[in-house]
Amino acid sequence: MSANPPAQRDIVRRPDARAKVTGKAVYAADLIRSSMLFASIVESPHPFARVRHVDAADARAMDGVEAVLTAADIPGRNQIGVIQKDQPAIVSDWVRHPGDCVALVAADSPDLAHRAAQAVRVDYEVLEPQLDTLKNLERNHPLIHPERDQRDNLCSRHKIRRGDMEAGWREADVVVEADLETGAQEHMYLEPMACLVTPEPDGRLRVEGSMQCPYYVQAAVASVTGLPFSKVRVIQGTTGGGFGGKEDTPSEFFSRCALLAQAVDRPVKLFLDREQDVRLTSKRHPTRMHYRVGAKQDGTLTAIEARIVGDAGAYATLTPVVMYRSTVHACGPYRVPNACVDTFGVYTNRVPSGAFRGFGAPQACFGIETMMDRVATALQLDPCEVRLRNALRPGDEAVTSHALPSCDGLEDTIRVARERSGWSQNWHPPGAGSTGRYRDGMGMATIHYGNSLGSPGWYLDASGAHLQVNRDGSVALAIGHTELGQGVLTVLPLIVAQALGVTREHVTMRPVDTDNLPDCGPTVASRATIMSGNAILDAAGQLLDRLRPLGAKLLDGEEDELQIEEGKLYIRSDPENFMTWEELAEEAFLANVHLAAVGWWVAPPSTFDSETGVGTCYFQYAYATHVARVQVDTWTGKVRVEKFTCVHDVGRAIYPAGIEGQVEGGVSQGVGYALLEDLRENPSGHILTHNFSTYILPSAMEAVPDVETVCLEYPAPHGPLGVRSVGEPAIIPVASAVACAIANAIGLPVDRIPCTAERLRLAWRSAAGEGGEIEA
Amino acid sequence: MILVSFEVNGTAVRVEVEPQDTLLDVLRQSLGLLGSKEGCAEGECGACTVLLDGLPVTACLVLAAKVEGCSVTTIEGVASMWKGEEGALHPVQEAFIDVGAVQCGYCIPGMIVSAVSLLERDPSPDEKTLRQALAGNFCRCTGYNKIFEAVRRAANRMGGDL
Ligand code: FES
Ligand code: FES
Repeated sequence: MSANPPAQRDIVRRPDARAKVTGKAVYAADLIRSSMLFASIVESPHPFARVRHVDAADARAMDGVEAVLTAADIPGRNQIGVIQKDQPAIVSDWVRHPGDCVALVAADSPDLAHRAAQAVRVDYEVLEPQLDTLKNLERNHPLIHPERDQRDNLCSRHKIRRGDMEAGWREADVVVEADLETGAQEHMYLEPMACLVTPEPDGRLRVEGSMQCPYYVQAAVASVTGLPFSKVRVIQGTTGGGFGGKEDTPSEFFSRCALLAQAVDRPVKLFLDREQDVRLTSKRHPTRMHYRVGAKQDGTLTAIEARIVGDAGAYATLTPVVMYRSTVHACGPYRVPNACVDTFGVYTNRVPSGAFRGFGAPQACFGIETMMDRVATALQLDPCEVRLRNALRPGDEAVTSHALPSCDGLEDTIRVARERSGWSQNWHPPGAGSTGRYRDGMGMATIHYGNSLGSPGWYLDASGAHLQVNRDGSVALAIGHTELGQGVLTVLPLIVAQALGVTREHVTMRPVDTDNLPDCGPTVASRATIMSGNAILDAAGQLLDRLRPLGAKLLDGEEDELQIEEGKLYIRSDPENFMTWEELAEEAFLANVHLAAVGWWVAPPSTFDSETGVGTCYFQYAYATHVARVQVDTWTGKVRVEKFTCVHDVGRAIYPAGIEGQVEGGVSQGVGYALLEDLRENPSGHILTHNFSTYILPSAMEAVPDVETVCLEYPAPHGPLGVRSVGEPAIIPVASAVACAIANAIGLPVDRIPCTAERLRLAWRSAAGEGGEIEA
Repeated sequence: MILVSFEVNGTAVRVEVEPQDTLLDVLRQSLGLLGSKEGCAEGECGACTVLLDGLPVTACLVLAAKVEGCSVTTIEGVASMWKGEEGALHPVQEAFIDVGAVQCGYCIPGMIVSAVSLLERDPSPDEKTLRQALAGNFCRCTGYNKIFEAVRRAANRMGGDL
């Protein structure tokens, strides 16, 4: 274990930063082509309806309108579902959420495209929207996907069965139970969705845009256009944030844009304005949960029963894998001898829920961490002690009946968080702190996080890297993972530099382009550094196998005595007599050495039994504990988050400033999730909070003044150089820690996030008695 | 069509605009200055922040026809507001790079314009002033901590303390 040497913080400058601070970085909306057209979507105004007839004659007749496409015009397969094939690119029969796409327009200005879309007349048979997940689970309820052979609206189902629940309840000295709820969360990446599709002279389609997963886009575009993958070239542009929101959703919009470009044989640009982006793109799954937890007098857990119902929205998209993650993480990183976990993804007539940083884990974390605190309260114990008592130690079985690989850092995250946050001095029993208007509280949340895709995604859990050494010694790196702001462009060249023994300045990244490498899977699940990093190590190893014999020969020494570091090579016994990497590259070129290599890394397989939930689930995990300190204003219900202590076992901190950036950003997003971000809709499910003025994000005023990031470095078994994930672990515990801190401050349970000022104020008032104030 | 003359980053321009065109439209579409970003088009996100006669405004809410005779500074013109060496960045830009305050970058042009404007008005802002000056610029990536750090660092450098 070691903390970051602070001196390192200023050393690494992001290679993409200069273009971004000067305004030169090119985002998708900045792309311009001559003869470019603009796309518009004909959106259904209804959440649930049958399309009887689409009449596009008026729109087609408008001057400057080049194409109006309906489902009948799709040359390929009208299907873009990433896991289940339940989502058309253009609706042909059933409209399943507000804004579902009924037709597409291309015109020579954005304004005209928009007006033409409004001129498309659609005759609907309007149906009653089905918005209640619990009701939709009932049999004989109206079906949102009547075309499936299933007679219910169940989209996904996972379970874990472990031990003997009866025995677990019998052994318990205390049983706590709660109904909990988490809200939807909108990504609100600053850059709305945008792309440009250009038909190339050779018949290929060039798709550029803001996205996380070029290979998903390639597959979707190929599906709808009927083109082979080799004729669909996807290039990622500078991407203004993703957080999961640009995982699968771009496939939807870019494939529509591709249909138009193909139809008119001209470049077509599609961009969503903010309001559309919020209305039409995915959200974090809102959930309803029921937890029941049994524990012994000393806090030892005896049984957990958890039921999590997630709102999938209108199409499956990623729900089955989001709910898988909720399932695996539902009982936290604790020893639970007896467990019964049931999770359900349920179709509703809302815009599909999808990936959002944490991917089902923040919801589960809110469930289990809330319960850990309630166990502590019921037993009058310190919740930190309860976590330490139950935290998994090496060799312990997790709830899925397998030992977590290398979890020695887990307990340490709790201990270090306790120490660095001043927990022992400042924590007080719930409601027993300051009295009067302002109440202080502390809350803790501990997590484990399965890195990468896990058992259901193993089939695409492999990645490549292409390294090319030029004769001047410069190194070009191509990978299949995208820079979204998280720092891939910074951290991977550092891995190349370490692996080859060159400096970071030797390494240049090529833009992510599906022409460069075979499918490397998605840039999600905090996997880019691990997957691409391992592939880089493989490619670098191949290059070194070719270069080291030559270097040793040129230096007149033995190959196993050869050292290459920081762009110099020498024989260990004689470091003064060195040769530069540039000289080696030139010599290698003249000797016809093959100076390029493709590395490939396949994630170790993991398992999950669908009946029992027994399995390894993920090939490795990251661990973290966060502590929040808050002050609640009981008059207004406003919560001020004063300090966050974030302790992460990152395996190995290659780019510490990047880790801090991830953690600070994660804290901000998590605080928004906990307190402010309240997605509102009208009774028919239309989103009302679709811009920054109504959907409230943390601003500079709400920034947490003191965020301390502490990195522990217990090397991971499979991460390159020992790396573990950090991007999502940074947000997962945040909202739970805040909620626990609020409950601690006011001595009342927090059953639902976001815990907005209005809700908190109401809860406080009703606990204080009608119209009264609790004054101490 | 309305003919409007104004100054952008020190250069006089004359453009034809429609009555409903915003300054942001004109900067991006007519003048090819793509550094100012659109994040919301309703004056809430701050991504389009530019200086209008030295004061920060959200260009998506300013009608282009109203800037007749004004002087506009965009992110592209920020570097030349600082009398550094040829091609040098503004200390605020430098500081954003140095402390790692940039992630996805989409909020950054507007954020930097707001920060530059703040330091012009108040060379050593206290915490509250700093937060208030940036409260109109949302950032979804960084949590603002490193952005504050960058502005403080730039303030020190500009004040000669660094
Ligand atoms: S685009 Fe102008 S404030 Fe958001
Ligand atoms: S850096 Fe991404 S929004 Fe600020």
